[in-house]
This record gives sequence, C-alpha cells and structure tokens, in this order.
Amino acid sequence: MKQEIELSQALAFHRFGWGRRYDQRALPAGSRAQLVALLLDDAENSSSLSFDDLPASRDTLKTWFDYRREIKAIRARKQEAGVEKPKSPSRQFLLGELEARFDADRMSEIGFGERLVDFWSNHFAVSAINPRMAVIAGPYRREAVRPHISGRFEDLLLSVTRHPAMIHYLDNQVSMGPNSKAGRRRSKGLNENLAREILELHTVGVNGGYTQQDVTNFAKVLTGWSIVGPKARGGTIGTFIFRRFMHEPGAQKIMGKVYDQRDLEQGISVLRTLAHHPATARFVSQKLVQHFVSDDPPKILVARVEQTFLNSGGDLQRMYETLLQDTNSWQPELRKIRRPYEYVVATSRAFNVRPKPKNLFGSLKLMGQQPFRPPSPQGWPDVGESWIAPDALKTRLDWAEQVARRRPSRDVRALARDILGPLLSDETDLAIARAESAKQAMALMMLSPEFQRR
Amino acid sequence: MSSKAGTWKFNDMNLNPEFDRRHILHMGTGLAAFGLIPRLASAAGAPDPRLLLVNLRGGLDGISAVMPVGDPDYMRLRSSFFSDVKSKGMPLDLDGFFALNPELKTLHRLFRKRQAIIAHATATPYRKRSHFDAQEVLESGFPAAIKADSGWMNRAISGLQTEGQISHNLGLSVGHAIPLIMRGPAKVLSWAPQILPQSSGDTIDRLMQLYQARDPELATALKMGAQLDAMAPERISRKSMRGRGNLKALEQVAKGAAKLLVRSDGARIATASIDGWDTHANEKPGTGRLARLFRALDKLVATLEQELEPVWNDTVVAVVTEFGRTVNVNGTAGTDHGTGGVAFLIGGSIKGGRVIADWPGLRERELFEGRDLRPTTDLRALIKPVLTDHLGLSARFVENDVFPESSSIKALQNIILS
Repeated sequence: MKQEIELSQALAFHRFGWGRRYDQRALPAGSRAQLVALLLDDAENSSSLSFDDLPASRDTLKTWFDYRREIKAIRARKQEAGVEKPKSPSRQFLLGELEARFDADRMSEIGFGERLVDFWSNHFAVSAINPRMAVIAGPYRREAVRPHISGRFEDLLLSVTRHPAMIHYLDNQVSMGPNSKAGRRRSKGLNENLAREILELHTVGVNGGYTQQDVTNFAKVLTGWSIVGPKARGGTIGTFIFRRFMHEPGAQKIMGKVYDQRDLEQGISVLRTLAHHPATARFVSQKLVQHFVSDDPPKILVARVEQTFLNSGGDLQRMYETLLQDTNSWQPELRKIRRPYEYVVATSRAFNVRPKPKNLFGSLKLMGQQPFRPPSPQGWPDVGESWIAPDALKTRLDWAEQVARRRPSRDVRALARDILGPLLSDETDLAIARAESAKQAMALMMLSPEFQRR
Repeated sequence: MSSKAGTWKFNDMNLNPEFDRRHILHMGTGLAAFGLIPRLASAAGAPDPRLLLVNLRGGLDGISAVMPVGDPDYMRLRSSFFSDVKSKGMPLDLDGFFALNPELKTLHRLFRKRQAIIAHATATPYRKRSHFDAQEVLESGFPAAIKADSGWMNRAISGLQTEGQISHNLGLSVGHAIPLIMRGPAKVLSWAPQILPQSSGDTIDRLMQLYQARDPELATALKMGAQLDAMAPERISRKSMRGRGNLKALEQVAKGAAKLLVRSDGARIATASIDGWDTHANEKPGTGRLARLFRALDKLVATLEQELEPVWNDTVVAVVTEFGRTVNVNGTAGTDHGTGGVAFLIGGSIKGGRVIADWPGLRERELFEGRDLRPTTDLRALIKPVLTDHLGLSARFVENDVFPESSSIKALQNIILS
C-alpha cells in the first residue's frame, strides 16, 4: 500500500506538476483521492494568483504607442544624429514577464495549476511576432487565460477572444464588414484570420464540420471586434472595443444556425454556441489528455473527459477531475517528453538554480522554444517527435553541462532518489553512481529518460 | 503508432475515395524491394546529387512573387500592390508575361543563366485552406490530410539506402525539430546554429549507454546528435547571431546546411523552412513585410549558390509553400489563404530558364471558388522528375512509395539536365 501511494505522489509532481523541488518531501495525502483533491486545489489557487507588480496590457500598449510616437517625431525632425533615441520597451517587458512566470512556476507547490495556465495559453496561442505583440503576449496569459482555468470553457473562450493580444495577433482590429458604414466607403474590408483560427484551433477543430462559407460568415460576425488605438477613440488606449461602424449588419448563418443578434451580442452568441458544441468537447478533451497523459491519448479516457465536458457544460474543474480520477492517468511509464521550458523549470526546482531571465530566454531559444514566441496560432507542438531531434537533445545536454559546471550538487545520487522516488530506474541510479565527477553525475541525471520525460 | 483510419472528402482531382491510413501502414514492408537504379556512389565522376527543399510556411503569395504583368486583370486586381512594388524598383522580366518581384535578384540572375525553373498556378492536391492540413499534405506526399506519420522526403531517403552503399547520414533537417516531411523510418540528422560550448565526449558515451538500456527513441536521437558534432560547421559566435535578425540567421543556416551537403561523407537530402509568409494584413510586396521576406529568401538562395559551388552542378534547391493566396486584396491590405501559387527549382542540375504555367486567367469565372488562382499543375508533377532524373529513384518507387496514389500525375519533362 505504501509503495503505491509513493508512486502516485511521485507522478503527481512529475506528470501533473513541474517535478519535485529539492526541498520537498511527501505531500499530505494518504490516498489517490486526496492527491486528486490537492491537485484540484492547486488549479484553483493558480487561477487566483495575481502579479501586482507587473503592468497591465493596456499600460504596456500605451507605453509602446508613446515610444512609437517619440521615434516618429525624432525622425520627422530629422534629428537622428546626436539625439538620444528612446529604447524600445519590448524586450524589457518580455524579460519581466518571463521572470515572473518562471518564478511562479519554480516556486509553486506542485504546479498543476501553472501547467494548466501553460496548456491553455498554448491552446489559445498568441505569439510575440513583432515588438507590439511582444509587449502584450505576456500580460495576455495573466489577464485572459489564468483567471479562467478553473471555470468554464465558455468563459475562457470569451475572455481570450476579446483580449487585445488575440485581436491583434489575428489581424481583427481592422477587419470590417463590406456593408458596414466603414466598409461601404471602401470596396472590401474583411479579414478571415480570427474566425478561421477560432473554428480550426480553439473550438470545433479542423474536422468539426464547418465550411469556407461558415468561416466567411463568422468573420463578418467578428467585424468590429477591435482595440482602442493610440488616439484613444472611444475608450482607454489598449483595451477591447466594439466598433459598430465596422460591423457587418445582418443575420449570419454558421454551421447550420442563424444568428440574428445585433452588434457585439452576435459574436458572443456564436462563441457561446461553439463553446458547447460536441465537436469542441471532443477536440478540447483530446488535447487535454494528450498534453498530460500520452502523445497518443487513450480513447476511453478522452471519451470520459468529453462526456464530462458535455454533461457539465464545459466545467473545467470537473474535466480535470475526470482526467485525474482515471487509472490511465497514473501509469508508471513516462511517455511524454518534457518540452524545453518544462525541462528548465524541472531543473531549476530539482537543483535549486535560478538562471537570469536574459540567459533563460537565450537558452530556451536555442532549445527551440523561444518564450512567448510559438511558431503559429497552433502553439507549440505537443508530441515527442517534434522535440526529440538530434540537435535538440544535444542542446539540452550542452545546457545541462553548463548548469552542472556552475552549480555542482554534492550528493547527486541521493538527490535523484529524492526527486524521482520510485520513478528512478536502476540504470540511471547506476550511471549516476559511476559518474567520474559530481558535474557529470548532474548532467546524467538531467538527461536521464526519467528526467526528460513525464 | 496508432492505426486510426483517416477520412477525407472526394475532391476534383479524381482520387481514390477509399484511400486511408491503413493502406499506408502496409507500405513500409515493401520499401527495400524498390529503390534506385544501382549506382556506385564512390566511383570517380559518378553523380552524387544533392536536394535541398526550402519550405515557406504560411502560404506565399505567388502572384506577388511572380507577377503576371501581361494579364490585364492582374493590373486591375492588384493595382495597389503593383504601385507599391514599382515605388521601390522595376519588376524583373522573365518572359514578357511574368515578372519577378525586384527583391528576387538572385533568382532572376539564375533564371537568366538557365539554372532556375519557375512554376506558377501550381498546388498540391489539397483544396481547403487550413495551414495545418495543407502543410501535412505538402509534407506527407499523400493526396489528403489523414494524420500521416511520415513524409515524402524521408521515404525517398529510404529508397536511396540500399545495402551498405550509402552512408546512413543521408537526410538533414535544418532547425530545432524535425518536420513531418523528414519523419519516418529513415533516420535523419537535425542541425541548427549553436552557440553553446560543447559537452564532453565521455558524458555522451555514458548517456548513450543509459539510453540504449532504457529509451531507444532518445538513443537514436543522441547518436545522430553526436555524429553531427563531429561533422558540424564551426561554432557561430554570439556576435554574429545578434545580426540583423532574419537575414543574418538565414545566412548562417544556409552556410551550415551547405557545408554538410558539400562534404563527401555528409548529407544529401535536406530541408529547411522559413516562417512568416501568412500575409493577412499590410502585405506591401514592394516596401514592407513581403518585400523583406523576399529579400531574405533571395539572400538564402545567393548564399546557397555560393556555398554549394563545388557541387552546384549536382544540386537542386526546391522552394515550395503550402498554398497560394487570394487573388483579391482583402480589407486589411493583405491577402487570405488561397490555392494556386508558385514553386521554384534552382540549381546547376536544372534545365532552367523558363516559366511553367498553364495560366488559367484571373477573371472571376476563371478563379477557383471565385477567389483563388486556379491550380493547373500539380506540384508533384514538378517534384517527380527531381526524384527520378536527379536523385535516381525508379519511377515505380516514386509512384508507389514516395507519392502514393499519384499515377495520374505525369512527371513534367525537361526539368533536369541529362
């Protein structure tokens, strides 16, 4: 009995969290049911975590607009030579966000909630593809995603879709209906990007049964969903605003349903319907199980989570509960690969190291996961074959040796046993024992299959 | 590996509606039986072909890259873009009908030198507009998106590996992760510019032992990673990495990949990708975003030509993208996902100097679904002769294993110099 709970505790940290910290021992849970309760609490706590010393997206955007205005003014006055140009705020904001996020992750108790923030931020991915996106990609996670990870999928969807980061990333702030007041002054105005990605990536999925016409109609519904720009027309700079003069008037039919509401209500209604669509239940459940359990998620587990989604109207805590209560989630084989960020956080916790944000940023970029910069609206890939590549693995090893060089641990063998518990294999234990130096032992532990997978 | 059968919709290219994933899983056993016409790669003077495929992710706007200036509808539909281009420079004439964006200088020079073929109104068989599925079809080599787990280049590599003849480090994927096009049974190298100091050989050996006992997947990856270090280009200094963003990084990528392709014991089939072509807003092919991307692409081609010089006559660089874009400019001065687009074949092995385009026209009734350039050449028709005439794969192998269900797609003639 004791062995089983030891294994479950190890998996709770390793599979559902960021991995044990060097100073952590047993969790106050004598049964799997108690562990599940702890994990669910962890999720709720993360959703209410606030970062008071970080600027809100409206403030970072305003700072960005001010900076742009100054640069333009300097150029206009042709005073480039000799004038001290202001520095772009983007990098500083990005590093600040990275630091805060990294600290929250490495200091979290188990980290299930933080893993969920990461998961949902990736599902509803935005990317720092340019300096303007760079100042709001970080706040987006805190403002739009985090507060809703324990609530309902519908609320999460509405929240992310109305955040300036998503609107801007998918070019919706200037999309206008051809028959809208603004559109009639020009010949065209529609941009399909946001509508398409909501259907394909956020809700029903590419096989969800929508057509090109549905995409176009949904794009029309979303016209007017915009952001207040530097001229502060209609609201506070950098906040969401609905601009009626850009909105395509009239009812629209999407996936067999007609939406005849007006203005903002029309889009909200579509999103609500999508949030409860059976294809959404399936697509989202599949991704959730794939993220935590296996690249090839067990069909029966996906079906159960899907059923919970449908029965509860998209209650995320209930879905997590279904996931956590299933024996499929607690198999001892570690099949998922830790993505670079997960690997770095796990290392930080296990060895009590805290890379400087600038170095952290550079290392993650080299490992193929530049912070806040996923390659597309699809987010970072979630399957091993995307991350297990010769070059990537070599980079992880090079980084491990760097870390080991700077902070060699004293008793790596004991540390391995503490961190991994029953997940530690005899072969890894032996390799560590036979290492020629503490540095090498650390590198071997970090690159061991048990540490690279979860 | 799972065996979920995929489903896909019957489309206008007359493909087998029962085509599904189970069919593909059975194919793997047949690979060794096919293969290339036997050749002794080590014999002096024997051809030793290289293929590098550059994948432009996001959907390149073909009509901005290769402008159909001879088509009066182009001027009507894209006047704002054309003005933007003209404000920066003169389009580079190709054949009186088509002209290149002025940033593509190297491509133009190579075209004039008969070392580049430009294909227009070309596409894969995919007819919807999802990046994800379109890229899958482009990379898998199958006629539809069925959640394939291997890519056509990987399968081509398998065909080239007959017993003991060719080094097993044949395939090279440039970048941090291996894309679908290079995934499959054949093991490939991956490489990306590095700036960390190297780890010690002894640690690698011990780690290798550990992986061999516990984790075959990691073992394979580590083995190739270690081999790569032995061959890899010199360390790139931190300073040069900081350069002008994309341009500098791409230059390093080209140099590194070229070094690995030139070596006698190096790679032969490689792939790299450039992101950022999804120009939904403010496309500005003359003075803005797309112009910058063209400049970077042209720099990549120029660097490849320079660095691959010793083997240029044996080289094909293929430039492809998952789909073209809408013919009309959208409401945000950009273009949306489309269908027909362009592809380039560049290299000393190419019988170049012409534009391959069965031009469908740009009037509304001539467009695909009223919005996109109608594709009139299947991309596979362009790639097939590269696989057979340049790499030496048998036509039967290409049809059965590399591009399954493509027997109706006839390979284009006069692509490769004999």
